[in-house]
Amino acid sequence: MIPELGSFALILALCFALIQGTIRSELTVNAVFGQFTFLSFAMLCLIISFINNDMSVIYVREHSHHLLPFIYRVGAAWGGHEGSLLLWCLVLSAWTFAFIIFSDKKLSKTTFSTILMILGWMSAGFILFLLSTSNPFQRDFPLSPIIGNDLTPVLQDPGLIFHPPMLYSGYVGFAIAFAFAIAALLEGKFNKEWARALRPWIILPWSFLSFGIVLGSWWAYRELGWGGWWFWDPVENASLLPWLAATALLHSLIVSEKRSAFKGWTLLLAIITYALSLLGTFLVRSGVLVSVHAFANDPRRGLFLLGYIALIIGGALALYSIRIKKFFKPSQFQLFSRETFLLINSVILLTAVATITLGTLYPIVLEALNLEKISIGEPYFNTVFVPIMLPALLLMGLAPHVHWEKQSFLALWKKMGLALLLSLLLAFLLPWSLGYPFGFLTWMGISLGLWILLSTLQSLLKQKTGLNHWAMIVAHMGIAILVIGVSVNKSYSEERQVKMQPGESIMLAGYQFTFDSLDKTKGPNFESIKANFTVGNEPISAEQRIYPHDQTLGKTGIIFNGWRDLYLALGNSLPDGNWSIRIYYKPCVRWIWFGGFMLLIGGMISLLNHYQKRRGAL
Amino acid sequence: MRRLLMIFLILLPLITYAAEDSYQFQTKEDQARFSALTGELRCLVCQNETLAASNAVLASDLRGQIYQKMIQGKTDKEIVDYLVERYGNFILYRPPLHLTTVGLWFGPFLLLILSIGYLLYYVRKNQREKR
Repeated sequence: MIPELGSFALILALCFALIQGTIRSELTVNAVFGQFTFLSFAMLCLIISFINNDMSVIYVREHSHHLLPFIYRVGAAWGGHEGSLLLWCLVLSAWTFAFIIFSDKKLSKTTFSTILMILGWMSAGFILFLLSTSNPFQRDFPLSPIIGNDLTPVLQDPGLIFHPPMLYSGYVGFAIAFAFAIAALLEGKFNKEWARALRPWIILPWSFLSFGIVLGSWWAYRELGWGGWWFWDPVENASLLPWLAATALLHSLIVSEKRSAFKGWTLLLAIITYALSLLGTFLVRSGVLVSVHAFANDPRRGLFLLGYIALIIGGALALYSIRIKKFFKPSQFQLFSRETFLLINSVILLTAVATITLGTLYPIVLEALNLEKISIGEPYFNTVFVPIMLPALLLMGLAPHVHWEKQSFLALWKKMGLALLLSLLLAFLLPWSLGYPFGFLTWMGISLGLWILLSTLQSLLKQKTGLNHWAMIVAHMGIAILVIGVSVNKSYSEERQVKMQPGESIMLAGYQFTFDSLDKTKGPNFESIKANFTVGNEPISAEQRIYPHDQTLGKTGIIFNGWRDLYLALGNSLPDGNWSIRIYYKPCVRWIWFGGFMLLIGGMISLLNHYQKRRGAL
Repeated sequence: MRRLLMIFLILLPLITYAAEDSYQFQTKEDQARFSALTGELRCLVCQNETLAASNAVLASDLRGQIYQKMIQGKTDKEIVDYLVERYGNFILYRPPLHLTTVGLWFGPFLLLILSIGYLLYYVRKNQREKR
């Protein structure tokens, strides 16, 4: 009964979405509310089906098991294809609902309802996709009792509960900015007021996306057992693409708001950002990443998504190319000015987007053309992506100190030269004084991080600081900390793969890991072998778990402080009675996530400023 | 001196009981070479994992083969060529530069140079028109 109610709620939500998309009236607000209510209800039905372990629902059967702990049964609701699409639709309607409540009341009624109509069509398309190709409530009554396929063990982690909702809140949220851009193009109007009204709808999803990516990285680090925090996996890339474009959008929007310039560029970036969110959805949800052949065998989902996305983006770009002339305004700035710096920043970020897209799609295209099967991984991105991003980091420290319209080079050098030289010097001295070897790339990385840190702090000294300025400072320092963390981690991590048995010890980076004992333990739905170690006085243990259906999963052990992580992974038992053990020393790895978290904080500060100002204006 | 001796005596049992590296090399450089090499090769049976990180049997087998070849004094290039001959370019996370991968390797840099070049030209032109 419950799954049928869920299906029914989805159909009602679709009807409301269609009403929202077609009728221009004040009543559409109710359609949004209805849609949000019924999608929430559908999600609730799915979660209840999971809690009850209703194995007649195919989606539940494939992602649950009678032993699966309660909390992961809730999370499993969005742990697979169908459920995560339902989450997509729910998040979109939640954003639309939030837009109605919090949007700037200065927007005209027509604009407001145009935006709602565009969002209505977006929503209708995705709910239709859900109902026609990926209904999570589809049933199949088995003749005999059945045990579920279980949730993939790597997903049985608290990361699963938070990561997808946070990530989706990020990239689905850009739908609002997209609808804004389309409305602006249709009406041929995009002024400072609009830019200000648009701002929170870019800042907020950008903050969520930043944090979602951080959560994903943190999850991969703990769960995958090789001490890495980013693998350039296509699924990771799919989340990074809209983030990079949104970062460009964020900066371009500032110029539109403060200088009334870059209007066409801001609108284009809003379209591109959402297009990349949709591309990510297509890549992850069509199955094309797993294998081109799997995609070709069941192309229904992929083709629907591809067609729908092509329609949205193609339509948007066509509209853009027709209407853009209206927004053209001769620019007032000179070559050496903050405007140019921000434009270069946009260009670099978009080139980075193009690079990652290329690196992600290239193997798929080559394989689809039957040319060759190649892999593109970390070495490629380190060689190509990193050098492209380095100049952006240099500019990041500089741009906040450059004047609008016009800047003298000499004055800039006088102001910033000291910080630049100091960061180059410190990046050399700090590792040296701590006894680490010199490496050119390490030095570059740390220099750039320190440079952003110092120049950002310097801007704190001279200018009067409002909340908005603080938002920039916190976010930029977050990037600085992230860059330093990445450089140090990349260069000075150490690892050993060893054979050992209880009673033995091993040294790594000056830490002695002692293998104390081996336990057999039992969890709610797994049996596990646990290797207990001590480092100094601190206990650390790693496990090998065996889940139902004989799936195995390594659980890593980590002890950390602000400076370094010590990381332990248990491998297989060897014929000679030893165990294969991996230990890692990961300096500054937490800085990466902390830096990412500061982006979220920066975004929140900016938002606070926005609403304070608005209240002040009223 | 006595102190040093004490430290030595305390450390002695640790040295005798110390565990072994799974892949033992004479020098630190070779150890680093091994990590770097296995970190750039793909485990062929996993979803998307390096040979260094994978727990799969085939990956461990290939690690063993690479180790043997390094002990025999083979260079990185010889080892990689051997693996590519057997498993194809799919095993390389750093795709080789071919006719089919020219765009992959040079496209991004070309795009960056062209777009920044165009941007600067555009800003300049705009200024001149204003004057």
